[in-house]
Order: sequence, then structure tokens, then C-alpha cells
Amino acid sequence: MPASTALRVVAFIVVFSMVWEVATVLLRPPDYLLPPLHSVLAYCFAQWQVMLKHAGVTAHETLLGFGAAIAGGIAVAFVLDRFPRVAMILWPSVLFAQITPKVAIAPLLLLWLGFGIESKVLIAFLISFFPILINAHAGFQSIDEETAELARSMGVRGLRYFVRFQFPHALPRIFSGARIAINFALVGAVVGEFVGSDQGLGNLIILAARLLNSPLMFSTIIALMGMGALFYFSVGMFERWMIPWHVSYHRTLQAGKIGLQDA
Amino acid sequence: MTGPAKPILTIAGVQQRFATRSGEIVAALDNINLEIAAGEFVAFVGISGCGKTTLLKIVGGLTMPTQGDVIYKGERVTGPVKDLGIVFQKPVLLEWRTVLANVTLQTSMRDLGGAAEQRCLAEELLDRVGLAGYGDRYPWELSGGQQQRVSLCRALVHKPGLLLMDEPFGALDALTREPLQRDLERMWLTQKPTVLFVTHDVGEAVCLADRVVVLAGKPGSVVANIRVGVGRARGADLLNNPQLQAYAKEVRSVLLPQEAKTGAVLTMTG
Repeated sequence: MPASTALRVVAFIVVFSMVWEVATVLLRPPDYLLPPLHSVLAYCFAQWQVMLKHAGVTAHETLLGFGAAIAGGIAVAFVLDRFPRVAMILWPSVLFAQITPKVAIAPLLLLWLGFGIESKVLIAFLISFFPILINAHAGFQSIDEETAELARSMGVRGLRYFVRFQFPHALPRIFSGARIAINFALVGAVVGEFVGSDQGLGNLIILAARLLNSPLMFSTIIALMGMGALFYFSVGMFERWMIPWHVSYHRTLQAGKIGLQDA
Repeated sequence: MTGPAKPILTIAGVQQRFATRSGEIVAALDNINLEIAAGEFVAFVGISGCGKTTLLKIVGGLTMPTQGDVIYKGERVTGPVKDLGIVFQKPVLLEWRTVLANVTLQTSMRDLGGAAEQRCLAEELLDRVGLAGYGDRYPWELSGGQQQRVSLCRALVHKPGLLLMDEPFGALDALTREPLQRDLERMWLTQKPTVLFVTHDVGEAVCLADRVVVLAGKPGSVVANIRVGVGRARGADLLNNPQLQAYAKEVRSVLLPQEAKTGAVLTMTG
């Protein structure tokens, strides 16, 4: 993330916090509807160990589901790309899985898998699987004719072609999918916790609503936002490290290296 | 047809037809017969759509002809030719590999020599096309002409017996093209691969080639086979070489009536 973007993000947070604090002091809404920011922060600090423990559970579920979606999405995309006949049979079932609303079947999955983390991981996986699959598949398919011919002229075929040509070519798209999928996975984990759990941030939100404990509610929401941001930017940083050659970074790089390009 | 004494490459009765989406059968090449000697530089000229690129792919074994045979080094071509180098109109560099790694791609995919040896060969070639010190850069950091030079190095680093070039300088401006033509001639004189060079630029064809094959018509067939009897190195200097200019005129005179004919057909049908 460039420094100017970071600065703008911080500026937004500061302004948002100020508006919140000033509005609650001036308008005095009931505490259970909107507590002032300082009392939310005070609650956060007092309860940070509890928050952290629950956040850890949700993060664990999210990352397991996301990791499975990355592996599964790439693997299925590979099969769909490589074996057109299998693809003909497999596509309808993939599409069927996608049009099934994952949130609607969450209670069913809990019934089947129980109240432990397995059901949450599965929901996180199902909800983040599709963006990875679609992007990876588009990436594998979008390699141009000349590159394919170049590979064949070198006698490169099969798995070697996939590893050396198709996969690196598809990486930028896979990362686009991953940026979307990571926050989908978080939503999946929280929804799973809503439906039934004894731990995790989703569980805390349900608890806070039942107890009308709005500082807990807002603390949890802030924790979820922080976690979402952390995940999203981690994927972005990993992407930069993995594919520094990609076209989307040229502009930022070039700004710092004027005079690099010559005739 | 003036065949060379001992051809390394024989194209015998090659025809290519393909089906369009509407199911119509279209002929791209019609009864092509050619013999090419080892180390010969042959240019193919013709207006677009006469099947030049298709012929190149068939010779390299990247496409199979509908009919006819290609014999290379005494063997019928049934798949990609083993010692093949290929240059496209676009540089076709892998954007995730550095310049050096793009050149060594050829040798590493073919498992030729150790990493250090491959690196050494690639650096030597890059040096010869004026790209010394560019090895660690990524393709996007290079201009179009530089990228095409890298592509040329990649096609030559394994010392191919057969080099196929499909309008390699077609996308470059004239000032960038000339030095590249000189580089190509120099490198060809050093390594002496058999070159099949497709272009629609008559001047480029006579400057580079030992022989210019004119393809015309739909489907494409050979309408002229012109040997360019000018010594080497010619240095891509068409402007100051009356001999080359005479050959260019000859090639053009064969090409132009064909263009006129196609034009007439188009007016009639359209």
C-alpha cells in the first residue's frame, strides 16, 4: 500500500471517530442504540483478552476455509481446463453449488457437522471457493496462442506446461479472486457462528444483541473490521511479493525510477 | 523449380484446409512444393491471408497439413521439430521472468547444460544485440525493439537448426527495424541455421534472404521463387544498394499483379 493511501485511510478513521464521538455527545442517543466511541474503546481495552480469544477462533475458521478454497479452487480450475470432457460433466454441478445460497444452508451444515469449527470452516470454504475457481480458470484459459506455440516449440507439454507457463500466467487473476475470497471467507465464518456456536466473534455479536450490551456489540464489529482489513492487506502484500512483475505495479514503481526506460 | 543440391527441408504437396464456424471448408494452402538447403535463408512474401503463417506452422510441426508431407533432416515431420527456434510478430516474452530468464527458458526447458552454462550463453547473445546489463530487468522495462531482440536471443540460444520467423519486425517502426535486421543477418551468418522468414515487406525480404518465395492467391500457392544473388553481409541497406533494389522491383512485379487481381475480385463480389 503506498504511503499516500495509508495516510488517507488513517485520515478517514480519524474523521469518522470524531463524527461518532461528537454526535453521541451532542445528540445523546440511548446507550443501547449507539454508545459514545470512548465507552466502546474503554470496553475494548478492559476486555481485550476475551476479544482476542474469540477473534482467534474466527480467524482460525476463516483462514482454514480460505486456504481450502485456494487449494480446491485452483485444483478444480486445473481439472476443468485440462480435461474438457470432465469439464462438460463438472460445470453444471459447480454452477449448482454456486447458485445454492450458502447462508441459507448454513443451519443444515451445522446440523450435519455439529457446533464445532468444522461447520464454520466448511461455510467459509463454500462461500470463498467460487471467486478463486472462476478467476483461476479464466487465468488458465487466457494464455495466448503464441505462448502456447512457443511452449510446444520447446517440447514443453503436460504438467510442465502448467507449472512453467499456465500457472504463473494465471497468478494475477488468482490473486484478484483471493482478494475477494478472503473477506467472503470471514463472512462465512461469522454466519456459521451466528447459527450456532459457543465461541468466536459471531457468537459474541449474538450474545451482545441478547444482552443489549452495545459496547460489546460495537467492540466486536470493530474487531471484525480490523480483522477484515488485516486479511485483505495481507493478501495484497503477499501478492506484491509473489508477482512483483505484474502490470498493476508498474506505475507505482516507475514513479520511483524515472529514467529507467531508454530508447 | 530450382531446387538446391541437397535439401535439408522438403515441402511436398502440402495442402491445408480448415472448417469455418459455419461448417464451410476453406482452403488456406494449395499444393506447396519447396526444397530448402541447410543454412539457407528463405523469405516468404505475400499479401495477408495467403497462408504464410500456416505454412510456417506446418514446417515447424506445430500444425499438421491436411495433405502432403514435410521432410526435415530425412524424417517426416509429425510433431514439433526438435531443434526449432521460433520468433513471432509479438515478442511473446513471459512477463514473470527477467530478460535473462526469458532467454534461458529455451535451454532450461530443453535441459541443455547446467544453469551457469545456460546463463553464460544467454548473456553472450544479449551482449551481441546490445542488451548487455539488461539481464535482470523485466520485459515491461524494455522498449518494443528491445523486447523483440530478447525474443531473437531466445530463439537462437540453443543453436537451432531451423529458425521460423513470422513477421518478426512487422510491428516495429522503420528506424527500429533496420538495426534488428542487421543483428539478425549477423547472427544468422555466425550460426547458419536454416531460416524461414515470413514478411509482407518486399525490401526486408530481399535484404535478408538468399531466396524470396512469393505466395499468392486464396488458397495460397507459390507463384515465384527468386534467388537474391547479392553478397553478404548486406547490412539491411536497401537505400544504397542498387542490386537489392533491382531484386525488390522484380519481387514487387510478381506481387503487384496478384494484388490487382484480388482487388478486382473484391470489387466484383462486393
